[in-house]
Amino acid sequence: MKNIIKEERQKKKITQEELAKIAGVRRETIVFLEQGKYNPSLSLAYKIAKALDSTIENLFIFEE
Amino acid sequence: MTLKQYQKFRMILTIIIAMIFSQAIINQNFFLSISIIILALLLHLFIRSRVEEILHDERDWAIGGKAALSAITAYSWMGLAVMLILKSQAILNPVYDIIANTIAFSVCILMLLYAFIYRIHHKGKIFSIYTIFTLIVLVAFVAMAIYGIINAVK
Repeated sequence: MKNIIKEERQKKKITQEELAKIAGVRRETIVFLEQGKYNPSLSLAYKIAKALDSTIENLFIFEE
Repeated sequence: MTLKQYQKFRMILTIIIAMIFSQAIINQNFFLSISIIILALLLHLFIRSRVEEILHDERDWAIGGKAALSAITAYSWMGLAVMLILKSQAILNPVYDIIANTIAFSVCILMLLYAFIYRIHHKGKIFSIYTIFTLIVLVAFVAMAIYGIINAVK
């Protein structure tokens, strides 16, 4: 699943480490998320969206 | 304590424990081997509580689950292959038959244990009809395995 987490994070000037701390995950998870190599759970997607003042629909692009 | 420091400490601790434990077993000093394992466990728990960073997250659990299932599958197939080879060679040495039975039982117990733990997580509670049934089968199998192996050794 594609996402725009990296772009939104850079806009907010938040580091991966900081985002990981807010979302309660390890930095590696944020790295894999940004690369589109990991699909997060609904609760993690919500936490990230909240941390970036965005919504899940805005951050994640679902492709069939 | 940072995550990297913790990982480094855990690696050093594992090496030291492995060295002492193996030497204690060789010298048949079982008290020392058990003591060192308990001490290491307590030390590990203490150090883990000092880590301020997140040790495991949902991705680790997901990977861990997949890795555990793959490991169980691989062990089961390897166990089956080794068991068949040893059974076929049992004419040469009767000990092979005991080893083959032990491996076969260990594979079955591992599968039952997996099914039991899976049921607990699946149902979200320890006491359900499925988990109790699996537990009874597991206990019966362990008892049968111990009885069978002891009898075979005699």
